[in-house]
Amino acid sequence: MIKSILSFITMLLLITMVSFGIMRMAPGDPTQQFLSPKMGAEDMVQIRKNYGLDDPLPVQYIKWLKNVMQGNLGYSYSTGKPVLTAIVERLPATLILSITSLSCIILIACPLGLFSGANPNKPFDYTVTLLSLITMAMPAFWIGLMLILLFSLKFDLFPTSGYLDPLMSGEPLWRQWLDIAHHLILPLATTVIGGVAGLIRFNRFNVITIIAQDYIKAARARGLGEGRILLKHAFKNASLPIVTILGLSLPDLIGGSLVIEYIFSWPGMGQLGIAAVFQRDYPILMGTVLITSILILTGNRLADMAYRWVDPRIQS
Amino acid sequence: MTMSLTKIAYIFLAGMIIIPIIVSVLNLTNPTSFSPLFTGDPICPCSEHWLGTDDLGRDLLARCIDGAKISLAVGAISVSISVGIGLILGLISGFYGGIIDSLIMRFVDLFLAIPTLFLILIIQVMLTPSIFNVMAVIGLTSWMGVTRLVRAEVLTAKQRPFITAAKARGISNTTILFKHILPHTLNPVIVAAVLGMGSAILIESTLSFLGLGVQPPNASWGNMLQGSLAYMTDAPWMTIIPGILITMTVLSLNIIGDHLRNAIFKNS
Repeated sequence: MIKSILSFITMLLLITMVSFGIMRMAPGDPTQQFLSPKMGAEDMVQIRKNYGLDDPLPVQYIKWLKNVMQGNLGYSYSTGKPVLTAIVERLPATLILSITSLSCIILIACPLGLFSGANPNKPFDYTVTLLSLITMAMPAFWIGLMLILLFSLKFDLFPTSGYLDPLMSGEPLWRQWLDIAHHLILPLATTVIGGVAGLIRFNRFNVITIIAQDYIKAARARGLGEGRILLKHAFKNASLPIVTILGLSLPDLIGGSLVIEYIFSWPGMGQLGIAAVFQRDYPILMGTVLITSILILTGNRLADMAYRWVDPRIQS
Repeated sequence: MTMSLTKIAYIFLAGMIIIPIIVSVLNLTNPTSFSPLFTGDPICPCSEHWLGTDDLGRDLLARCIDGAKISLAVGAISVSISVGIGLILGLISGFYGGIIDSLIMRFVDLFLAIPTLFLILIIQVMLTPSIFNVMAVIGLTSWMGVTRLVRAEVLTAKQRPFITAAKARGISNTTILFKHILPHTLNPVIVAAVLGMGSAILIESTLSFLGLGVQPPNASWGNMLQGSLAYMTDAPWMTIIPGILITMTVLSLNIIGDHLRNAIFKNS
């Protein structure tokens, strides 16, 4: 337990250190955006001094870390808002999108992988395999564009972008939730279509190897029904590695949702991060990196714990 | 069915490599010239422009062919970089073991925990976006898988009797590593490289779509999509066609990768 907490903290420190280093060592000056004709050279020097941008890198990092320990993530260069507030405002949208898409991915991938793995080289299996090969080859953002083209521009079923219609602010809460859900469908579909194929293929492969094993043969010999064998005996073991794969694919999922949030103007952390990248808004960027890494590392730990829970043979 | 699919994949990929070369050697089309028919709106696919034109009146087919060169080159070169790094780190890590091994593996874990796309975005904004930076950045951020793969291969190869024999004959570590172990790791690395090229092309298209990759007037399939966003209703072909090309290319690479893996698996 203590060991895993320690490794959590070391990873977090290393990730923030690396991102801090990359951001600051790269050319480019965040104070450029404050430049106006009225200012002289000494004003720019003063601004750089106020932000502490002339200190040596390690000093800057330690200062940032000290503030973080006290719950202060700094202030955005471009809006002056506290970074923590800016991120907390964005967190619900990100969590809604990532949690719903993760659940949909599991709910779709498990049965499809199980059935196509149980009946390999049948028409159903071919269709599923072919479709997942194709969706794996599509750029995630292009899936989003195609869905917009089809469902928003052609059939006008769902809005092209946004989160909650500003006109809805006076409406009762359930109407607002309904509106969010309506906006959610296309970004959700994009993430799911982009992310589900890998898991289906993985699950299918697992089921095929498991069904070839002796204990399944033994279960058949005992006269158990095929459905019972699949669900109770094969699926249980096939689900073990899924937990690990899900934990490992979290960074990709979050990375992928960056672009999807950007396309659908979904007001999550990804959109905030991308805007901050373009504006060289270091405090916001570091805040986003910190919070995303915490989310990812927690996800990994949860996956580890879940793995131990589904497979008691593994001792910590 | 699978056999014919694999054949199609090889043929398609060969076409994607050969056609742009023929077209540019014979100077058949010009991806940056403007159509004389252009009046301000993108032209629909017609007999003069088989795939229509973009918003500036440039022939879309010519740009797709030109984009193929760049997208495939970015994929190939960035994969060479990542495979090179992964091979060296994996060989060292697996062969020497101990502290070096755990240091390199922690480094791999670290890079795996950061969302790659986010890292690439940060680096790309800081550098001036150009084709070469795109290749370097994708290569430098996607070596982790190959490192793990090579390390695992080295660990199993190290246990084999012929390595013990080589050691007993007093052959130096470097010779054993490069002459006897390295060839054993190459098969899975080739598979990983083919599959990695597909994902490099996907990353390139995402970066170029965000305006952080290949810069105009150069055409890549990704930056053609960037230009298409404003014309989705009036000129959907601008969005649909480059995306289909990306999908088909990555699909072919994935199918070929799977095919190679199965071939190797059957042999051993």
